[in-house]
Amino acid sequence: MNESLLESANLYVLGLLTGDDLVAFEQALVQQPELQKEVHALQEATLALAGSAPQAAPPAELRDWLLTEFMKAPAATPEETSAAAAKPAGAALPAPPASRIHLLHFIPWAAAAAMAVLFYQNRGLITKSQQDAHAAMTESAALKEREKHLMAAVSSSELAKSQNETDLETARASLAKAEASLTELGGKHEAIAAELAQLREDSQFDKTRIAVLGSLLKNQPGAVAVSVWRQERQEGLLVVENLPALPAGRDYQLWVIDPNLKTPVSAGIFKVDAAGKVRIEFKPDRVVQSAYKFAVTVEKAGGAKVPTLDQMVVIGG
Amino acid sequence: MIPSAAEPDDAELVRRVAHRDPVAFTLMYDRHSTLLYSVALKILADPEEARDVLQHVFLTLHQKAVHFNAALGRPAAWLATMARNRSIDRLRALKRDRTYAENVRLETDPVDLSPDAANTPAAYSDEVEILRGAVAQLPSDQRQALEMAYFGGLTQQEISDTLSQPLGTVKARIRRGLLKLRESLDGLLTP
Repeated sequence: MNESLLESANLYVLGLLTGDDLVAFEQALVQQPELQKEVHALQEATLALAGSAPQAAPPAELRDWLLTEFMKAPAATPEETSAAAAKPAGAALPAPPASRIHLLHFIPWAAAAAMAVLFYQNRGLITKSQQDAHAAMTESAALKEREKHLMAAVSSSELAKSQNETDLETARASLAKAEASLTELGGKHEAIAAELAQLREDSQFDKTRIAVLGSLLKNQPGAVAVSVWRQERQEGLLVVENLPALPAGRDYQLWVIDPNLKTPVSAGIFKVDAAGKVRIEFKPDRVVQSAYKFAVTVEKAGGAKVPTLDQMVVIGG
Repeated sequence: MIPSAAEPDDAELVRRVAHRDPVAFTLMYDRHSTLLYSVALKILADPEEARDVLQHVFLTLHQKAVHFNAALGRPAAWLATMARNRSIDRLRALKRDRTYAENVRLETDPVDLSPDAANTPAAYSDEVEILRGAVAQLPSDQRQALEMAYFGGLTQQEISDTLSQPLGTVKARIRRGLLKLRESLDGLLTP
């Protein structure tokens, strides 16, 4: 690598390359793996400069706003993920591709989570319906192919006519059945699509409440939980990460804090796996008028009637 | 005593953000928002503008995580570069009549090494301390030239004019400073 490129690399990581010099350098960057390594090492150096800025905390509300925006977005498609993985090293970051036309990929995360809670059976139906639809379409295509062959056979062989006609009738009956099945499944998909549209609309009108529960644990500051709460349905979903596993005889207990009620409302007990994770659907023990905050405490096995406040591990709203 | 659960590294979190994992997104924010906001605030000297930069960075992380290639560098460096460049762009766009001295402390001012890590997780506060230590070890003339370029967005010629130093001297200071930072940080940071 020549001195000129190294000099340009220094300027590049400091954002000092402009115009034709910048274009030329970025072309070289794409083509030269060694230059890429150099730039990445220099970017580490500029990270040190970033760290030398006097530390200041960002506005507290930005965190929740960004998380809400994050959850409104459609899920990444498998095609996007694999396309990104297949990108050649050194290529510049492109604009995100448009989402593919696929029903499930348009479900906001919150709506999808609510659907998991509220329509568990229907979610199963989606999967089963898709499998059934796929099987029916495969069968339909096979039967159509078979019918074509049988018609050809009928034309060419009078001797086989009787047997072929029997087969043909059987094939046509199966085809009709498969096509009827497809029609029925299509109807079910339309119903589910309508439900999802309603969920999206609910989410837009803030009927779905998303809360981030931050850690109160000194020894586990990375503990975090996200609650997705549907007020009208009085149900929610809790996703937990980095909570320590509890000893025997202890459970985590989720509480919904409603300012209209004298005491927090229990929303169930849970344990986390060895990695500190769990994902649970919850329903409070009584009707909640306003879910002001959510909290998790450590309680004796089976849970408590009121939270043990000094055992609170995460809280947020 | 309650045992600790291991936390995933940044590359793993970015991969999970690409799959729209809200917990991973939150962890990334908690780890890096203070540093990124601090960079933007030092460059722009305006909390509202710095907030907009931080918002832009995390929305971009959200949108482009699927395209992030861990082989091309660490997520922290990627995010810091994004925050710095966006801040400099904003600074230039705003066309504010502020001199470099009004926006960025010159080397005659001490570097703030206070331990105010806000809500940054402990492990990442440690990392910030390593980064600060590396910068603090630089000779003052190299640190000054690098800070003028990084936080002030000044070209080498502008730095030369501001400091009344030959252009070749400024180029050498920047080159040596970056080299020394690379050597100081080699192997010290988490992946």
